[in-house]
Amino acid sequence: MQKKRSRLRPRVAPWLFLTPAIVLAAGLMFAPLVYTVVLSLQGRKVAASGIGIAADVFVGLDNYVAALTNPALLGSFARMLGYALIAVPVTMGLALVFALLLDNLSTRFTRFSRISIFVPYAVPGVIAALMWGFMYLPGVSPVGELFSLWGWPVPNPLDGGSVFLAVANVSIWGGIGFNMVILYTSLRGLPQEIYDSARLDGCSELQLALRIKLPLILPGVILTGVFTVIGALQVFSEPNMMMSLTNSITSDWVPMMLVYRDAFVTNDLYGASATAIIITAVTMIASLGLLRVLRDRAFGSES
Amino acid sequence: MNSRVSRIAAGAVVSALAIASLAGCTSSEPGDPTTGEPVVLQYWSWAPNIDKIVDVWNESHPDVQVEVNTSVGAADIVAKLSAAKEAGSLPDLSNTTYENLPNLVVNGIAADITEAFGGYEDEIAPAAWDLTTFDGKNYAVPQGTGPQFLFYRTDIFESLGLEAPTTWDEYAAAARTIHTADSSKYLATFPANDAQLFAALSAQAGAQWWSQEDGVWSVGIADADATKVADYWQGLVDEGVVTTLKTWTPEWQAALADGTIASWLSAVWAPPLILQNAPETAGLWGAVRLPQWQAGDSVSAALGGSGTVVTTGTEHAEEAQEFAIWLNNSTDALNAYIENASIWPANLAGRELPGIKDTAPAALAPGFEDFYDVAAEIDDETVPVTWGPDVALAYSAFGDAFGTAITQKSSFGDALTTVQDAVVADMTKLGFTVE
Repeated sequence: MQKKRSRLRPRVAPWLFLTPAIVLAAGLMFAPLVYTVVLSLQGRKVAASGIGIAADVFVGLDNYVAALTNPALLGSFARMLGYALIAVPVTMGLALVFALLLDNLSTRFTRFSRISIFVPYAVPGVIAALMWGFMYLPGVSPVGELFSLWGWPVPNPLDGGSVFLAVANVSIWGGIGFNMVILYTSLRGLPQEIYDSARLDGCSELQLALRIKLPLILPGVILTGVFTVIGALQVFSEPNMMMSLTNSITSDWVPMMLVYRDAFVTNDLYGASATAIIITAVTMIASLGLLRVLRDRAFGSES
Repeated sequence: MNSRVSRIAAGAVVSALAIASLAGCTSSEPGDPTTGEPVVLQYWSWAPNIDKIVDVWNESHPDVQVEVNTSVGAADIVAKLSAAKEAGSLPDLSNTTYENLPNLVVNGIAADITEAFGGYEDEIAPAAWDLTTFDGKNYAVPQGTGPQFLFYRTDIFESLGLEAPTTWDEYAAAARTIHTADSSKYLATFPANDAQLFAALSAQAGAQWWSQEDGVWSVGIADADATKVADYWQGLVDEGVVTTLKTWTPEWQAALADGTIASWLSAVWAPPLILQNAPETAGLWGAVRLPQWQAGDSVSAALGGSGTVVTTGTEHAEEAQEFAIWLNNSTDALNAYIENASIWPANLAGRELPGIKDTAPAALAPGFEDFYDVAAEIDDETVPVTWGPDVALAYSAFGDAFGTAITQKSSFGDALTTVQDAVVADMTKLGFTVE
């Protein structure tokens, strides 16, 4: 009896523990994904002449062909790349600088700074975009008022090429705090003795940061870096919100906006599903590829 | 991470389901005549204060109760209803703009209500009747119409010795005078996000964005008349005498309030919005007919207007039809409308209700009492319009093409061609015959 129970337990217990996760994953991730694939293979066709009523039809890969041959998709990826080239390095760089600085400061000052850098992360993306939008628009901007007070022309950051900076600024502002906290936590986890021995060896604080701390928290840097890259690939709420404020942002500005427009503005759920699957594939390939490259570089000996 | 990526990328579809299922949670429960349980109808609308009008119904109809969901806006009504249909949880009734109604018919969302409503033709303004009738069948009960007006700041016009423009030439001259007098001020904005306005202006010029004969569609978005309108506005934009602010933005609201913009091409429903956006300009506005292309003409266009559809998803079609007809045609409902919201009813008798003349729009100059008389005249002069089955796509393409044309200083006429091509491609893809 006792023997039987002990043999059963290891078989059942792991499954019991895993079930909630499996059910959640199946319901929240795989089911929608499968449903999206099913949708992406369909289309609507009107049979009768005149106004007619559309019926769902199977169209095979038509939606994928249409999405891949749509120059707007390529354009949206190009703009997303332009945005990412600004947002990712600045977010990561500043998060790292702040984390290293905070690690070096006195405790009371650290807590205040850490919270004030982190607070923007608590502001939802749409609200942040709305708030920054107000500050960008020349007609209502408090900054603009200062400019016109001095008789200078009021700048419009949403106009022309600076729109990339304007959009990136919002997500950088919101993203630094999150990344900084993760990096700062990794830094606090490092043993103090290493610093002491480094200092005994005549290491300056700058050298300490660059040669000791940075290499030791590299896994954390990679983790936050990959998250930031994925976030950039999926940028949506900031430009979508600012689209209503400026002529410089079109409804297909970045890939996720294109999907949103097709699904919820122009009512082509099927085409939008195909585009969403394509973006999923690109995102997965990009992030897995990035991870592999970084892992080989960073832990060449380990893997 | 793999699963995280797929989850977020599939987010659009997931949220469609989420929206649909949320709507479905409270879907109508069938009424039981034996136990006296009331029938509950779900009604989607964005009209301000609509709940107060529905309250009047609920008080007098204990057996049929209506619940209003006001979270769906005019712009996304088609997509929200399509998602709800996909999930099998359509509301019983919904508001719709006239522009989007053909799309709802094509998608099988708007139910044929000819049997209940077909006999009302004599009671409804002809323009609204035509916009809700396809192939002789009624698909919506008209609510209001949108005769277009030019609203202008009488104080600014007077200070510069300007008269309200009666032709587009005079309008352009006024734009130059205002901008020359003060380079920070403009007569108007040309908003890339207001395709509805441009569609109305090109309809006034004689363009037919869509037309249909014997089941064959023609798309005239980039025809000569519409191009004339595009070129006219490009001239003003290039000269710098009109601005290009998008409407409904905080910046636009500020410009309307502080006189940066001295006029607004809008419709009968605008006065309460002016008052709301720019309360301190109350009493300083005048309203006249649209400027004409030919002096002495009187051609007008409609901007907006909406109706109520009974959906194909309802289990209580009879009650829903009864409510839709009551909501837009009964004296009780129309009086409640006049009291709580601004409406220019499609129901002809409703326009004669004593209350409507008393709501002389406060945003206009005091003593502007013939506003609704003019509205009735404009309604009669309004050119009839046929809306195509993919207006939402056309409007979105318009916003992109004109936004780009403004930022890149490229041709507005080419932008119109881009919109036309997108619309024709979409209609062909949907299986329509487009010549």
